[in-house]
Amino acid sequence: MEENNGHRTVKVEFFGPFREFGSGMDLVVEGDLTFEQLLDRLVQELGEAFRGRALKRNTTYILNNKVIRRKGLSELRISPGDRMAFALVLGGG
Amino acid sequence: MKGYTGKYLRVNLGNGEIKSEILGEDVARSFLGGYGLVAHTLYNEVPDGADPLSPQNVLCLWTGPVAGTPVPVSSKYIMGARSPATGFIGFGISSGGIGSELKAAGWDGLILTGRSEKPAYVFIQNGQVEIRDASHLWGKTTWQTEELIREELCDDEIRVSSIGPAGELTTCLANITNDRNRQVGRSGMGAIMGSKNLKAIAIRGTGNVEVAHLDELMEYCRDLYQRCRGPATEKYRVLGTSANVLVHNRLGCLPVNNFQKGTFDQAEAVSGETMLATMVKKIVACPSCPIACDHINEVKDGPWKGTVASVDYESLELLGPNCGVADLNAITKAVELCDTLGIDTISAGATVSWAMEAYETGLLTKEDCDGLDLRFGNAEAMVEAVRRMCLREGNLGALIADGAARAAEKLGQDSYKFAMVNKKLEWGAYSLRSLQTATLGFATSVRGACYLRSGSYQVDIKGKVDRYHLDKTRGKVVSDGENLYAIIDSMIICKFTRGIYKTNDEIAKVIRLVTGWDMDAEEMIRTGERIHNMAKLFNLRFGASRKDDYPPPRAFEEKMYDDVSDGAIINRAEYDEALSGYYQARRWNEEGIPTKTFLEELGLDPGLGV
Amino acid sequence: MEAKKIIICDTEKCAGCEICEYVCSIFKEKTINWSKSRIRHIRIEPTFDIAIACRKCESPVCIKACPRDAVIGQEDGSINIDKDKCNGCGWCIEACKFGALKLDWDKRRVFACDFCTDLDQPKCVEFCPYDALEFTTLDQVGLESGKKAFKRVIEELE
Repeated sequence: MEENNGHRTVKVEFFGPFREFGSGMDLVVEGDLTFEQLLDRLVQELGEAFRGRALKRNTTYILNNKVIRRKGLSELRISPGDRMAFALVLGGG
Repeated sequence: MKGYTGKYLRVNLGNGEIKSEILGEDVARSFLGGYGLVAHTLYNEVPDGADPLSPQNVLCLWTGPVAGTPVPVSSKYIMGARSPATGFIGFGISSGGIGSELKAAGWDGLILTGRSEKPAYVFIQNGQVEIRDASHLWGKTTWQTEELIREELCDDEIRVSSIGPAGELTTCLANITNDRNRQVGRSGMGAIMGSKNLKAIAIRGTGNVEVAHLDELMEYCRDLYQRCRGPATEKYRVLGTSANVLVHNRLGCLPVNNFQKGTFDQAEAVSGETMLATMVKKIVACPSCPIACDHINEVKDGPWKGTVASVDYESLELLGPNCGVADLNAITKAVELCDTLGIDTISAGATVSWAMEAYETGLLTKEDCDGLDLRFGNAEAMVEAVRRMCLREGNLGALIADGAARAAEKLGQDSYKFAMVNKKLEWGAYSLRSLQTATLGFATSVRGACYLRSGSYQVDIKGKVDRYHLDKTRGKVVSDGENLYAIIDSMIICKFTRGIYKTNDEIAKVIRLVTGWDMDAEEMIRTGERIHNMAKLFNLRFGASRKDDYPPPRAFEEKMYDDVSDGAIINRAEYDEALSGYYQARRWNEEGIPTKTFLEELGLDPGLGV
Repeated sequence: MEAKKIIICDTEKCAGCEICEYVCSIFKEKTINWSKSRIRHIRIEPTFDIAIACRKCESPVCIKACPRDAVIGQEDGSINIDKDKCNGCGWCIEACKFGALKLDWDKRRVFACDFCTDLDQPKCVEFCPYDALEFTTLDQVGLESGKKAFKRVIEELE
């Protein structure tokens, strides 16, 4: 991928039940995205079913190495080079 | 009394005396059952200084008021004694059919004292109790023992709780298995059975289980069953707990190579996702359980083809990535060995990884390991090391059979620095330095390195706090968790159902409907607090103090070198502050000792208070 | 002539929770005692689970076997045990090939599933958390298997 046109990727990963959408994908982005924008991009690729699953209360979002709290979601910015994982809410074992 | 049979058995294995005793309502209401009664029994009956493996130690088995009822998930039981691993309170909670069967047989619990002269097993069939000869069972695996007892007694419905050869050898890591896939795993309770020459406990119960309000309870259960099929339990039902592998890996808190790192480059190969796709034969449930979390693996090819074992997150993680091993077949085989020969998978994994680090740093040679090339990542060596631990086989087996702390004591050369233990019990599959509230919970646990008393890792994982640092407010997270979990462990219900209850009062409602008591959420939590302090008092009696509530040296002395959690380390001063904060939240003094007034408030013996 | 309905257990869904046994004893015997459950869960290690109740056989061997005529065929194909005649000899238990009959430990008499005809629906079916149990006809079972098989074919063709 050439760097000089300013494009870079956001690496999206799917864990647990999100594997029904594949193991993940690399999204080519031109700068920061809000969570909504990221979701729209993914829905473009994967269909509306993805939105429903992603917005379920027991879904966990992990940006780089941090679990994202729902409260701060609207302020969240996902930048090129970031990693975003979708997973089921976690527990012990 | 409803919800209790009101009687328990006292069996003296030394002189064969069997007695029926009354469970008083005041004790039942104060300590509820399960964990509460274990703490109460052990505090009152284990003599000062009693060696855990001596006949003076007391082994008890308790159920809680919900055992044998259709409450989800109620078929739990607990076994406890002074632990040979930690020297403090030892116990383990298992599921399967034992708890419900004992209740139906008409008993709330069983206290075992003394030591049998010859291998024996206890058989309880309703009101008839026998101590039977077990010489023909000695040396058998736990699975063989269950089959043989059922055959001998001509009844496939008998529930059996037994030890394998490791328990017979009284290794500190020995566990107890029932219903094949369920274990009283940690703190060496299998060794206690072995030290008493007790091979198994077999139970058959055909009586009625009484509750106070059956119709209302059944309607409540109808609702609870629905909730158990909903989002609160989804994580357990599909992938199961192994779903944690990829998530912890992404968060840099997956212990790798004896807790050195937090990420594993081959995590995908040993993930819950891969396991489900390639190895899970079926997902089964315990009696009374609408969730079904038990993922049974089958090995389809390779040297361990045909192996069938139930694999959960911690077993997988500690025998897998924590040993650098990326082979699910090997992990499944190692779990099968642990379940049949009889040692705890968590302690096994964290002990083998210690040995691997000792080998990699040259403190152990190939000769010391009886020819095993015990490098991180060597799957065959990991499996073989586990097998030898179970049987105390060879130099290596003898060195590591009793766990990492004792092995490090024998080996010396500062190898204690990488023995990942607290109170000499091995750490669970949660990275110390990148999940610091978890670490506080682990290190302060009365049982030793374990999160099951408080679940404090949850705030770390959910991002509610900064998991790379501690402060004095974390203590309350741990102590609040402890009070609630003490109730869960005393009723006894399965922790996987905790998410279905929206409030503490919804849990108290279960107690009310089963027992008929008017217990509200406040009394319930106070009871949990009392139970936790009872367990703490036992530990104080056996010499516990503030110094026992620290994580291993690696936490403070080495930074993580990792893709995600690079540089993570626990700041000693922060930890001390958090520990003091925990004692404060618990209303104990700076040394972790409750005051006399506080103990009296709880209705406990103030003797050991300050 | 009506098609007979029996309780079918999908062994792939059955997780071995035995809630059917709890519930049966609660609704039929007004107490919690799974040894008194009419439906019986069987586990064949390591992972085979099934719950079995009376199959409403066309020519019930249990009726033929009983030396005291205590096993009485009902119109819907189920059987009823005459409490006064049954002596607990268990000959019917030996005869039944499915283990659908049991001996009550206290009453020392045989009992079998009556499909909750005195209640609104079979309680085990109502409460099974895994939807493994169905109260249905064998015709339906066959039809559903056929549909399932062809659904897969259709999906693959699309």
